[in-house]
Amino acid sequence: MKKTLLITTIVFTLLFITACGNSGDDDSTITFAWWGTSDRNIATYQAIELFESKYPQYTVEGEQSPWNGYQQTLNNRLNRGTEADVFQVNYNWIYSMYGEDFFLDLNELDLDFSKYPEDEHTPLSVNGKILGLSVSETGYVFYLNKQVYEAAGITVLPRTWEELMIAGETISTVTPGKYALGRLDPQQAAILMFSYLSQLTGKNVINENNQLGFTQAELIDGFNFLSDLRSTGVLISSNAIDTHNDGPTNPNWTSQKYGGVLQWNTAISEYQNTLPNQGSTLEMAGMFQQSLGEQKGMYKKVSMAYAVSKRVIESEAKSEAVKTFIEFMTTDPEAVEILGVDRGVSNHSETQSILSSSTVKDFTATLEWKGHQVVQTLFDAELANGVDLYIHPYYEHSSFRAIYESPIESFLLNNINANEAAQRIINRFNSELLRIMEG
Amino acid sequence: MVGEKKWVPYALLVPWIVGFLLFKLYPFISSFVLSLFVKRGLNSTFVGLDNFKLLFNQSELTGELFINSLRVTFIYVFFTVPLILVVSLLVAYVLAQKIKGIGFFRTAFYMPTVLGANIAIIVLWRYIFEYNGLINQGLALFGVDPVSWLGTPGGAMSSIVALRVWQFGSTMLIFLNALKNVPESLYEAATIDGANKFRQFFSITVPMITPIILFNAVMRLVETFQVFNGPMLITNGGPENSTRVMNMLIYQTAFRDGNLNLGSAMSWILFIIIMVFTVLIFRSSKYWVHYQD
Repeated sequence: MKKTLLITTIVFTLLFITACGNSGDDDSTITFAWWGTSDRNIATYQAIELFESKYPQYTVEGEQSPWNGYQQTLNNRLNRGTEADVFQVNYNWIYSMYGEDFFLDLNELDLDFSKYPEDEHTPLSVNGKILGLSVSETGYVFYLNKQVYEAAGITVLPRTWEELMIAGETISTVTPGKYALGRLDPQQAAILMFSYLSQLTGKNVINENNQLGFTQAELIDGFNFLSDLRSTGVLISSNAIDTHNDGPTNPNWTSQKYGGVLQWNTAISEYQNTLPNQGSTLEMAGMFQQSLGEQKGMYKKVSMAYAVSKRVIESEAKSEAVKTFIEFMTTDPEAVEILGVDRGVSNHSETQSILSSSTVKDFTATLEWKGHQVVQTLFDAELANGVDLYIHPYYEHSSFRAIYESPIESFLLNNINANEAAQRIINRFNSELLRIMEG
Repeated sequence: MVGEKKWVPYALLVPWIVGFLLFKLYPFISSFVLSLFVKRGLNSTFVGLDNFKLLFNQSELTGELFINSLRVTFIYVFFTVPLILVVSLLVAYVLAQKIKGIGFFRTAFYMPTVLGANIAIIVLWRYIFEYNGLINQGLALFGVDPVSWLGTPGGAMSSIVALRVWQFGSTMLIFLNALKNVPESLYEAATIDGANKFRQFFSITVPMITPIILFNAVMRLVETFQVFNGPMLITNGGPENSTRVMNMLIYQTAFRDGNLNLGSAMSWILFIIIMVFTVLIFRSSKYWVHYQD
């Protein structure tokens, strides 16, 4: 009895220790990690299935994850050297995660970049190394719930800030308790304010010298503008009266008390799916302007990219497998149609034409597509006028963003006024940005 | 045969020893080593105590956030530990009485501890404390204006303290057991001497269970300094960082920002704080803990 117990103990210990090690690796198995909503997960698994049927010599192990926790896991796995072969990244992680040390230069895989716009991969490149393959570009776009507007008798959706404020006043008067937009979190309020200020000043929030682009007086104008939006029924009077942090599942959004949202065009499905009738009442409203006919204030960035582990290049067979997989996911006509716009709209010319001419679904009618079009149009219009609103790679850095989001949060809670909020941003912005950029 | 008897117990201890070495001692030592370095990508540089100095430099955002998290954690511990001890002792005292159906009440009061701070409970607590939540709906019945529990620093802190205090079951059970071990003869003698229940509680019950109060105080202190689930899931550290406790900041620094070195330095400071407070409580115990022997 004692011997049996002893042997069992030793066997379990050995099994336990063995389980702590690597599960093994082979060149025909590709691991692929991404974050996403259920729509994106389903589409990705379907595409993987198709890949495995077309290339039976390869197996793909999909590693899906929600957005929350993905960055933490990836950071951890990169440090331990256990990252997936191919993994989805935010474009700024190329910098904050020291991509040059961990991500493979995609030139080494000999991928074809010629079908992308010339400067598409510039933000994803460090010292001439392309560290991520652009999947799509994105910008913050307003989406309005027609149902809320029509209930207040508004049949033509607003296009300027002034029209938006008039709509807000009408909605709050005719249908009390409803708002033209509703609640913005600090991240959304920041981009709204910086877009508004860019329209007025023609400046990016972070200028080419890596410093705050706006003056204190301009920031105060921005905060006062947020106050105007609150007093005209566009935004709720204080975020303290709605503490639901998750926008898409906010009961005020799902019950259609909130008439709109400012969201990345690549992630609007999260808000769409939680509305009645799959959000059929949601309309893409672009970016509100100072006056009709203007095309200003659109920030954009690479929405997400595929990065490849540096380990891959150690094996020729593995490199070939990964190259085949990435090319399949981004250009195979069937895969492109399966993946649709769940990762946004690719700027790869062939991929875009497959989607636009698809008979499977009218992708051009989707909110993601419409948002993509307006993002590109407005951004290019600004660029033509010498205003570059490309999002700085450290703007969304996980700790730097507190420099502007924290005062905005306090302002939205009515705990500080416009002057104090602007002062708090000014105090630390440049020094902290410099510190973060220096690592 | 005799030799076999000697090594068998050690062999049976192997799983625990392996677990201890791998998951306790190794991370413990390596986290200290990590705290002395700065890592940029693949390059590590020895910086001595610079990470620790940075944490106390309030002119840097990192220092400001760290000092804030220290302050928030102390506030949390300051309210939570005494409240858990008082509530669990009072409930245990009531449950120690011979009342009909007492088994049901004991189970009911212990239930929140079993449920823990899991997702379902967090959703429930969010619903209770939301602006349109259960508490404000209740207040409205009495004509009281709604309170932004999760939208104000004080309200948010109260919510996460309340969640932890609500899970007083295990502390209560330990007190319950201690109360039953207080000799009945002491109460009988006190009753004869004319002492009322209130006097009996403070002059007999409390002194007799001070060793257990000490045990519970230390356990809850260690545990509450390391709180994570409630603040992370209910308030996510907000509003305005008012509930960003140290463990949350450590997690965000080490894993979200990928700065294991700074995260390790933070966790060592937390460890030292817990050690100091534990030692202080033990040192103070000679003035207020009474051992029967």
